[in-house]
Amino acid sequence: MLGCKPAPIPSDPSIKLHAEEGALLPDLSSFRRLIERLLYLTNTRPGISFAVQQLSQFVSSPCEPYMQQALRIIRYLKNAYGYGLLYKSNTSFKIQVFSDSDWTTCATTRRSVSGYCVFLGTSLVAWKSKKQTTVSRSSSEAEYRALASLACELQWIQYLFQDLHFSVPTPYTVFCDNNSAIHIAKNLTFHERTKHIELDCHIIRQKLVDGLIHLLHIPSRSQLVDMFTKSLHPSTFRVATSKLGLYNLHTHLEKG
Amino acid sequence: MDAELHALDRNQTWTLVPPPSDIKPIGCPWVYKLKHKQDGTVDRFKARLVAKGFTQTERIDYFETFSPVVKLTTVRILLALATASDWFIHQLGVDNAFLHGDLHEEIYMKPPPGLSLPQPNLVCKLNKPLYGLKQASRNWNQKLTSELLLLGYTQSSADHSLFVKKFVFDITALLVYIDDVVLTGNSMAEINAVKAHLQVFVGP
Repeated sequence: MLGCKPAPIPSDPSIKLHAEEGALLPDLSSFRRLIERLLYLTNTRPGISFAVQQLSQFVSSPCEPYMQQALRIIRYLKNAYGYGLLYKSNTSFKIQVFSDSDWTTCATTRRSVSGYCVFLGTSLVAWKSKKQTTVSRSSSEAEYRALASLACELQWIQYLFQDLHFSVPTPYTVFCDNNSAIHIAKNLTFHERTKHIELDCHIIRQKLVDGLIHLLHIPSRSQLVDMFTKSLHPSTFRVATSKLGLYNLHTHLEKG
Repeated sequence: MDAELHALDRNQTWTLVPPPSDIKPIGCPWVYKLKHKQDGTVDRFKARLVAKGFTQTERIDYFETFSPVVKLTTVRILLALATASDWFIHQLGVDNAFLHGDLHEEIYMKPPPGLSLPQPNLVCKLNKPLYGLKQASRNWNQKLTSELLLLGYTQSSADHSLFVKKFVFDITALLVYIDDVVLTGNSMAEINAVKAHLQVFVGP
């Protein structure tokens, strides 16, 4: 891998991975070990979260195309060698959250992927890219589910701040690019189309009433979480990484 | 290997006893590891004596094995908070951490290869949890937790590996990742006090 060509992005947007396609790898454990290491790396590398999330679904039966994609992540890492999260000292203590989902991303099960990222001031502190547990009938429904899992995380973060004796101004601002999901959360409209959503998803409504979160609409193009829900093209990927507060350590130090 | 045997001896990890008739002592191989520096050159050779924990039976040789580790989100939140509030950040590592835990079960082990015995046919009765035992990490975690609570820290219920102490305007937070500790806060005096205390706690 030392002589490989660096790749600008961790996953190719034109490739959709299906379950059990291509020949099974002769050495299953090599793929699993690689995914294990990449999963660990996602702790400091939000950029590869989505790509690793996609691949880690296939560790039970790794096929040739998945290995190709996994090696692509390594080629991306070679390109983005010094990139890391930068926590600045001159930042506010305001929590800002971006939530999004990509409807029916999974080519095999047709389930959607939810993604979110949480900022403390300008520092990115939490993010997630996860396939949802059930199929959603509409994109708003997928967004609504994403918001529900986000609400749980935010509640936990709130507890953490309490334990740290740190007061962070609530409500936390949550940006979501889907207006109907916001409407569903704010009041019980569209009952006919939402009555099948699991009751636990309505935790988001409770947290709105409690004053923990505050939902705001954001145009899709200003959305920051795209990289956690889909593969992006190189130009958009670059913009997204810089907006998330990822910096190249080497160039940043040289500049001082 | 000598360094490890020395550490085990100093810590009184075991007492040599004649083997009880009804108990089968567990084996303990040496595990050798090459530690690399960041540039790939050899840092040191490490030898670790481990017990074959997989031969232990649940509810006889061990009961609870769960031991919490800190969530990475907590680490990031604390680091972001610390940079933004201009706090001190220190990190510590504990050598041979597991050997400092307390062992509650009675466990016999074959003498490790390389140990000179005063007389043949002796086995080691373990006083401390050796690496590899199922309960080793939990016992260490409990010991450290109770020590920190004694020092006046409160364990966070949101993340059990986060410990916080607030005294008027001084705040100190401590994150535990098995044997690695991140210590941060606005009071250098408190940070130094905890470090000194832990130093004594885990021995010379």
